[in-house]
Amino acid sequence: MQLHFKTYCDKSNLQSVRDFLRKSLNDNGVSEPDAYMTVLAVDEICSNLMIHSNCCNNTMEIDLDLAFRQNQLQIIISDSGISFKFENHTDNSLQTLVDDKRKGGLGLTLVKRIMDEVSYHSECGRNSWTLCKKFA
Amino acid sequence: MDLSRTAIMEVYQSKEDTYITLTIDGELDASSCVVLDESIQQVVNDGEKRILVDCKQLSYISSAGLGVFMSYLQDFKANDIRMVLFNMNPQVKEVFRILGLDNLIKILPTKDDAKLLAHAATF
Repeated sequence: MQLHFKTYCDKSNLQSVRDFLRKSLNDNGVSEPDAYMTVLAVDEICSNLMIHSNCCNNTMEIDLDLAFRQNQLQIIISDSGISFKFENHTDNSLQTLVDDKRKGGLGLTLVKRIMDEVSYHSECGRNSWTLCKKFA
Repeated sequence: MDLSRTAIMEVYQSKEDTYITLTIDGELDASSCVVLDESIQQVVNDGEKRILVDCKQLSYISSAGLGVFMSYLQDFKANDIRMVLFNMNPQVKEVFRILGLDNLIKILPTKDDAKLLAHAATF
């Protein structure tokens, strides 16, 4: 089964992204704990895209494509904002973030710990994150 | 299902003799975290030294919410301000655990536990 959802780069839209995901995951029999974490991972990517890639420009779009195959879910999140150098990303030390009184810097680490696979591709002004998760 | 509603999260304050309780109600994300940030900042500015955070109605937290708590830890340590979270649902607690924040932030089962720790000789 494949599902699509489009949203715009305003943080107030994160709630509707989560509502869409919760319903889709529930309709496809994903357990509540797995759904909770999957929703969180997608929320983190969408937040980053809204804030950092698209500067909260609410005319810019984010597309979500979900593909359920047996016990596996693939989520592609794509936008046309500023690209990201995923290969340069390293997990921040928690203690360093605390010492620096940072509010950010945890999101992508969380995504990588929740999902089984995380990849990023940027080409011709179109950026896409691919998240995969296998469910028991 | 209404997909058009905006994120709703509120923080209520309840002042007791020796501590203040902040009750978080709703979903704490990149949009709503500013409400919590302002509430904590306000009670700190008011001189509160014992802050209990009731998480019973906190149904969801993202890294933006975690980041608010994290950003105060250094100042709390320097100024002997104690913050204890309680009544947290297992899924929200799991998010703290995944990042190791449960080792840096006090999270206890009940308000009585939180009160005891907030007023204990050692923290």
